[in-house]
This record gives sequence, structure tokens and C-alpha cells, in this order.
Amino acid sequence: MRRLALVAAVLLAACGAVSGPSPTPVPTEKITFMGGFKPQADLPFVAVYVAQEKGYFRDQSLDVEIQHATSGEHIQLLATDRIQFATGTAGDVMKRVASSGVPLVAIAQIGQRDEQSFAVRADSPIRTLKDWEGKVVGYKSTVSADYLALVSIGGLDRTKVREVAVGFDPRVLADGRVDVYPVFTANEPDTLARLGIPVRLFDPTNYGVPSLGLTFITNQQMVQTKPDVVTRFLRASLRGLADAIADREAAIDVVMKYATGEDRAHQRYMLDTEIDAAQNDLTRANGIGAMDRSRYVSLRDFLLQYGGIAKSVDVDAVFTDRFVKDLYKDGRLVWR
Amino acid sequence: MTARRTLVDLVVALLAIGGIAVILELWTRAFSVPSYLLPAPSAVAARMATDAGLLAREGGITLSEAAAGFVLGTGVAFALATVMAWSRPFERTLFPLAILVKLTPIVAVAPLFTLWFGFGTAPKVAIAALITFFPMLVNSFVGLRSADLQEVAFLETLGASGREIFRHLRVPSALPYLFSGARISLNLALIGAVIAEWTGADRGLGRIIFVANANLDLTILFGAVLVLAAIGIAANAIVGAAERRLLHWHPIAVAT
Repeated sequence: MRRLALVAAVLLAACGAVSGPSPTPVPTEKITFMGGFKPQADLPFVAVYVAQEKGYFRDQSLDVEIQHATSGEHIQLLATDRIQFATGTAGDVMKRVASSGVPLVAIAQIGQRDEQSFAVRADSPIRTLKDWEGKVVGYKSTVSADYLALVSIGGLDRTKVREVAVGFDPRVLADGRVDVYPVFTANEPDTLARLGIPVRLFDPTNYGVPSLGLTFITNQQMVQTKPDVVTRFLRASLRGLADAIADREAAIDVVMKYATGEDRAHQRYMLDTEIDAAQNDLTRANGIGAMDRSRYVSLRDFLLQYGGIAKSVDVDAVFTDRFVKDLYKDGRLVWR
Repeated sequence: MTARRTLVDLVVALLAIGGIAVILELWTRAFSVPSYLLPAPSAVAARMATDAGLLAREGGITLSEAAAGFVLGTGVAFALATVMAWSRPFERTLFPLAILVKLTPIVAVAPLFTLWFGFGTAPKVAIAALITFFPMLVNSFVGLRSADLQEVAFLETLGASGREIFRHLRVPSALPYLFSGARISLNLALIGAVIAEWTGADRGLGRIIFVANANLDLTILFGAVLVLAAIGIAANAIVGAAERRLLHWHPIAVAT
């Protein structure tokens, strides 16, 4: 019996969790999580998929319904509490709070770096930002603050760059209609490579642009009236995320149950890329999902400088690190 | 009589729209509905006034793309319908292809049009043309085939050529169908232009709607939708007026 208990303790420790007191029975809470995009191996999605698959939500007395947005509707649904948790980049959350006063709060920073880059074909003569002059540079829907920052950092004469709206189809880079194409780092580079077009990336993070990636988000009402639910949701999700990092193939098995019809290898590329982007010195010291107020201040100032937001915003209204801080002890998730 | 009826119709329509606007205004104020969920009509109107120049310019671009697509799509459709009405083998060959075009999801192929035609106006016009094609094809085909066979036989006994029969009997017989197809296709052309602008454009009402949706800026979003609706209503009114003028002899002109 003692041996069995020892084995159980070792298994729990292997999952990245530190044993704590026995779970206290609490009434089951029904909540809805809506991923901000289609089912795929975006890291916050994976965290939730795995937590659901392994029963971590159930263990936390949560009955979680998993949904996915198709065209950004998750923001309004979250604002009206029709769903309780969703995903969005830190910059998007800040823009929505700043421009429309949407009561969103980022509660865990999963992507610790910019999720977008600018791709050029691997055989392109473009080597530096300055080389963008005289070239066709695409933007997805609007000219982004990231791009404007790179223009400034690279000392580019913007009048010498032809900026075109290219939408979301990377084949315009493959067939040479644009020289520089904005990509989600975890997505299109692999798609293009599969088309036989390997690319090189200009990653804004490498140029000092303080953008941040995907976060778990909830609404102010949840933070104020049901903080225990927020904590339990994050605890289960971050344990699912730790499991995904520990066994990526098993995580992809779970992803494929949701992302029917997607290419498994592409999902693995996405997962690997996002896991890399989720870890830095901050998370190594404080755990995956850790948040840093100074980075949100930098992000706000950057967005203000380059027109990403029209007016300033109180960063303390945009994010809170109280939940993530409570979940970790010495950088390890406490499971209770 | 017609002018008076048109005026009455206009007043009734304006009263209906005004009534809905008042209800929405009261609703949004009474329940303090946030503007990112449903903006008050007064806020939309104020925004439209502020950005009137922008909406007019972008509306003009969308209208020009839709108009070019309408002319191209309905022109090709009419030409093919003529061939199909003329020849059963052509009908059997072309109709399945037309259905294939009809069933192709525009959203799925729109990005391809950018690859094929570039970033300018051409892909928007092509998509608008594609979406207008099928309704006009079917209406033209049915209309051209609707000519009274006894009248055709009568003209043939008078020695009329096929071209003369086409011009003086089949086309006039088809006019009610052509106008019906034009009414449907006009609105579809506007929708096609907007969808095309969603997939990659730096101008147009579709782009305004796309960006506004991303930014939760619903006042300009609804403003752009209203401008789009106004263009659609105006276009339909123009077609209706042309229909009444050209089909004054037909019962449909009395009914519209």
C-alpha cells in the first residue's frame, strides 16, 4: 500500500504538480471556454483540450463546454458573460479595453513574445529591414503597430515601401506577389514550407518590439464575483498545459479530436513553436502563464506610440497576475 | 398617379425605418447597452455625419466594383443563355457548369482571385461578376425560351430570320425575366464586392466593415452597412424605373 502511494506521488510529481491538501468538495460550476479561432494547436486551446481530456476540470468541480469563435464573436460573448473564458493577445485585449471599454481581463500570459512575424522567401535578397525599401510589403487587414515599429527601428523611408492589403492567404508570397508577408509565426511558415517555399522571418520581438502573445482572458464580472472559478479554471488549464509540454505527441492526439481534418504534422509544428514562445526567464522562475506588469506598461506605451491604441489605458484594468501567482509555488504548479 | 404612389411608398418606408430607429434608441438608452454590442441609432447617425466623406468615397469604390462586376457577370450570363436557348446540346453542356459556378462557395475561392488577378480592382470585379452570373443566366435562359411558339411560327411564315425573331420576339418576351434577374444580381453584386474586399483590400465599404468588426467599432460598421443598403435601394429603384419604362405594356410594370 505504501508502495502504491509512493508510485502515485511520483506520478503526480512527474506531471509537474506539487501535492497539496485533498480537494475540498465544492458545487460544480458550469462554464464555457471559447477559443478565439478554429480548433487547432494554439497553446491555450491545447491546455484546455488536455485538461478536459484528463478530467482536470472535473477535478476542479468545473463543467466546461469548449467552443470556438469563427469571426471574433468571443469578445462580445465574453463581455456579456455568455461565455466565461476565451483567448486573445495581450495587445488585442488592450485595444478593446482602450477603444470600446470592453470589460476584459487577461489572467495568464501564455505567449511570452509576439505571435506575428514578417516572412520573406528563404532565397530572397532581403536581409535587413532597410532592404524592404522598394519592395511590396503585405499587411493582413490594417497596417500594424508591429510593422510601423519595424519601419522606425529599421530607419525605413515608408514612402519607398509599397504596402498592400493581402488578407490571410500566404500563397501571395509563394507566387511572388509580395516580397514581405505578415505571418503568424506558428502557422504560415510551415504552410509555406509545405508548398516548397521555405521562409526567413523578421520577428519583431528580436528587434525589441514589446508585443506579447496569447493570453487566457475573462471578464471583470468573473474576476470580481467568482475569483475561485477563475482560479480553478486556470489551475486545471495550466496543468493541462504542463502535460502537453511533457508529452507533445499525446497532446496532439487530443488536439486532433477537436481539430478534425487538420494536418497532424502542421499541428505539431504549431504546438512546438508556441511552446517555445511560452517560455522565457520569467516563466522559468514563476511558471508558465506568468505575467509581468512592466511588460504590459511597455506594450501600452508601444501601442500608443505607433497608433495601436488611440488613448492610454490603465494596465491594471487590462490584466491581473493575482491568479497565476497563487497557482505556483517556487515555479511549480500547486495542484489542490 | 405613379409619382403619388412612389411618394406614398417612400413615406411609408421612412416611417417604418424611423419607427425601428426610435425603438432601438429607447432600448439602448433604457438598458444602457454598450456601443460594442449595439450602438444607438443616434450614435450611428452622428458617426455617419462625421465620416460622411469617408463613407461616400468608400461607398463609391464598392459601387464601382459591384457595377463593373454586374455588367460583366450579367453580360456573360446573357450571352451564354442565348447560346443555351438556341441549342439543346449547348444547354446540356453549359448548365451543369453554371450550377458548378453557383455552388462554389465564394468565400473559399475569393483568396484565389487575388492570386490570379492581383491586389487591385480586378479580383473584386471578378467575384462580383461570379456571384451575379447564375441568377441572370437562369432568368435569361427561361425568358428567351418563354417566347410563344405560335408567335415564333407566325414570324417564320413571314420569312423572319432567326436573328429577327431573336430581336423582335425572344428578347422582348424575356425582358420581365431579365429585369427580375437584374434585381437579384444587383444586390448580389454589392455583396460580392464586399466579400471580395474582406479577403484583402485597402479601400471600400467591405474593408470598413471588416476593420470595424475587428475593432468592435460598431457605429462605423452600421454606418457602412446603411450606406451599402442605400446603394442597394437606389440601384433597385433605378432598375424598377427602367422596368416600368420598358415594360409599360406588361402586367408586371403595373404591379411594381
